[in-house]
Amino acid sequence: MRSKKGVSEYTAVLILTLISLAVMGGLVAYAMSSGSRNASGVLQQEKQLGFEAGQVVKVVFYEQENGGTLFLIEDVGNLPIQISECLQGGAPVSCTLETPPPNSNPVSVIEPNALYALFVNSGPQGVEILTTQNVLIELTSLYSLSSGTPEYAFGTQSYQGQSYLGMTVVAFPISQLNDNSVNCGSPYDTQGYTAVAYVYFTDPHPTVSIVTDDGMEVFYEVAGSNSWNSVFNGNAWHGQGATQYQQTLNVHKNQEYVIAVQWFNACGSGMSALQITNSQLASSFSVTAWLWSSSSYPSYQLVAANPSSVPQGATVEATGSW
Amino acid sequence: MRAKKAQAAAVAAIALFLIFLFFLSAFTSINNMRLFAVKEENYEAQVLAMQKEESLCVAYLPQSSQLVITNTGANPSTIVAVLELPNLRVISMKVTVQPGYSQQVPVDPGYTEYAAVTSLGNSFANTTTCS
Repeated sequence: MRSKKGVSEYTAVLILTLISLAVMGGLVAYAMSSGSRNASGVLQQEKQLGFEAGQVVKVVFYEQENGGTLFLIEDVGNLPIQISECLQGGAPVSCTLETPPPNSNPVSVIEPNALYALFVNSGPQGVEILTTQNVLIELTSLYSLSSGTPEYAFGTQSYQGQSYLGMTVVAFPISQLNDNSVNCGSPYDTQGYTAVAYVYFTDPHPTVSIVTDDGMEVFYEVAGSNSWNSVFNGNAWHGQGATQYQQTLNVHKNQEYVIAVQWFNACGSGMSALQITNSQLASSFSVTAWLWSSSSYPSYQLVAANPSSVPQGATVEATGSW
Repeated sequence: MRAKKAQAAAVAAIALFLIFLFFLSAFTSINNMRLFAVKEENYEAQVLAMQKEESLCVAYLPQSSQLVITNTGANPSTIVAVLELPNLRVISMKVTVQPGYSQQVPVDPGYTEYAAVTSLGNSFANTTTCS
């Protein structure tokens, strides 16, 4: 009788142990399970959260080429990334990962804080990459080569909202040029700006158009040549209401040029619009606003003598860029 | 009889010990993984916040073929590459520019556009207006 009781205690302990081990096994299976991206296990969920936060890809540049899209990508997260598959609209597309040009060597892992070139056989929209940790990352295209033609239309308040050269006049980005603060009389009678930018022409015969109140001139030179050419030969450099001028240039395609714009406004409202076709800016316009203290305005000869500088004798009022 | 009882007690003790070990290791694993997730989430939040604050002004000097990169933001910026465009060419580097300071980087002449890429994934081109 006593012996039987002993055996049953032993069996009970064994059964309890087996049940405990089974429960532990179940818990382990639950904690570790990850059948799909929607991980169910506690450990897997935490792991997934960590990888989703640590694998952050930013597209720093993209361009379409050879029937596909080249994404220049950077892992700005904390963890390396291995791509298992590229997708567009949820459908798999082929892709290759390389070091960026000019080297372009195949690689398999994206390390943080370095650039990589990912060529995807698709357009740039809706592209995603799936990492080996099941993190789905959308490649959002943020930056591509700018293709802007140099053109702007700025004016003091009374001109704003009017349309010239297909552009609407807006306030000067340098506020001192925008406030009609120059009175007719001493100490300053005239306000103006000198704007300089680098530009490439995509056609040897670009057209320069301006609308100005009062006077304006555009100069250009091959970068570094110190040999300036005048576009309008001083014809637009005089007091006037908003007047349009247009001139076609003879330049070298794909060579770097410097463009210098001089503008003045003798007391009262004024505006300045510029448009250069078949061209591409290689820098923003560096602009200096100036005041002219003597009567009238700087002579054309004075600004033509040194087109990229503030007219000699002018007082610098403000600097900026546009 | 006593031996059987002792055996049962020993098995029970081992089972309890195993259960204790299991819960200890499970708690440690989950805690470690949670710490990992929290650390990565904090890092991501920090990167996203700093991305918005980062500001560089990039100018190209054609005479010397230098790119002047000025940090106009409030935090140090690390330049990881300079892009030369079109016909993409990438110059890899790792240069940190302190706020208010500039860094000159030699580049190849004849490109239309130059862009500095930072470790935060921002691109600043010489064709965009400086803020």
